[in-house]
Amino acid sequence: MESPLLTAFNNLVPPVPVYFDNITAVPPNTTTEYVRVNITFGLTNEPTLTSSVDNARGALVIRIFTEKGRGPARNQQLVTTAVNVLETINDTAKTTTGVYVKLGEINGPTFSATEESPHFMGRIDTGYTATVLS
Amino acid sequence: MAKNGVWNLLKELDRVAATTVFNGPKAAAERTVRELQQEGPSWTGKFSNSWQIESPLGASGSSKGDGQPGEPRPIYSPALTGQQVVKSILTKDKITFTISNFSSYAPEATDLVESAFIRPSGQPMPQTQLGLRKFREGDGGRQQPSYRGYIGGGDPNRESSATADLDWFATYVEGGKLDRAVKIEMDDLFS
Repeated sequence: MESPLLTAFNNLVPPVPVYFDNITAVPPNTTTEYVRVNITFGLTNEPTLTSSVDNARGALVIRIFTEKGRGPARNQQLVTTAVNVLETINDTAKTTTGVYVKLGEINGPTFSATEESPHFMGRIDTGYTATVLS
Repeated sequence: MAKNGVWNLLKELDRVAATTVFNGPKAAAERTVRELQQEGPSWTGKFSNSWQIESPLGASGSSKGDGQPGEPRPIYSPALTGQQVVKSILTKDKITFTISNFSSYAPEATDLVESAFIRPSGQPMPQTQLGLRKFREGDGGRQQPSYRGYIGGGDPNRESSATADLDWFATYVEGGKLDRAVKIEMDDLFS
């Protein structure tokens, strides 16, 4: 999930930096646009829900930060980039090896801005199930 | 069928109808709230005691926390009989319980919006045992404003902390624990 998101935003002109929580840190006091991605882990190998021993579930939260005062269009444009990546992941056919990822319903986008922040924020989130095939 | 047999059958149908249609989902909602209280942040305890369940029947079956500080207190409402349930829902095509938090800072507590988080004066540590158990500190202060779960990365001469992981709410809802809570309660009905 990380790689496609990183590639998609790096391919934009100009490229938009992507920071993955607990891996890369956002530079302090930045005022330019960027994306933060948080991949969390929920239940893994939960016998109540599945007999598989190679299942992981969790949430994927993507936050888009764009410059405040320029309207929401740019933020929505970047949200669309993220959504397209997620839909592509979901359309990927299941193979016989590797890890198969299936995403749930995409919630959002929701938008917010605080008085103190130089950014306008957009957010989408979804659940995922990752299954080890071999 | 003997009179007593008919009466017992009606009572059993009454119990099954109420349980399946209403009391099962109600129990699932109550379990979900208990789990959300444990998963979520807890400093004074006001947020974890501000959950509420809204029943499709209005006041019947609804329950609400008191919003007061302290350890998480579960919320319950009395189970309803089949007659109470069936009479009211005949016109409805689905039964929906709504779980929400009425705390004024629920959006901040669930990492939906940013805010300027400042440790309460005179409270260097969480006031609840739950919060103390989950307490973690960041590397330095916060970047202000920030999401509740983003700690560290700010002034190295300051402190920052959290009592729940970033995006704990989204993880609970979408990471399988909500599904498990519902499944456990609904499976328990018929065991």
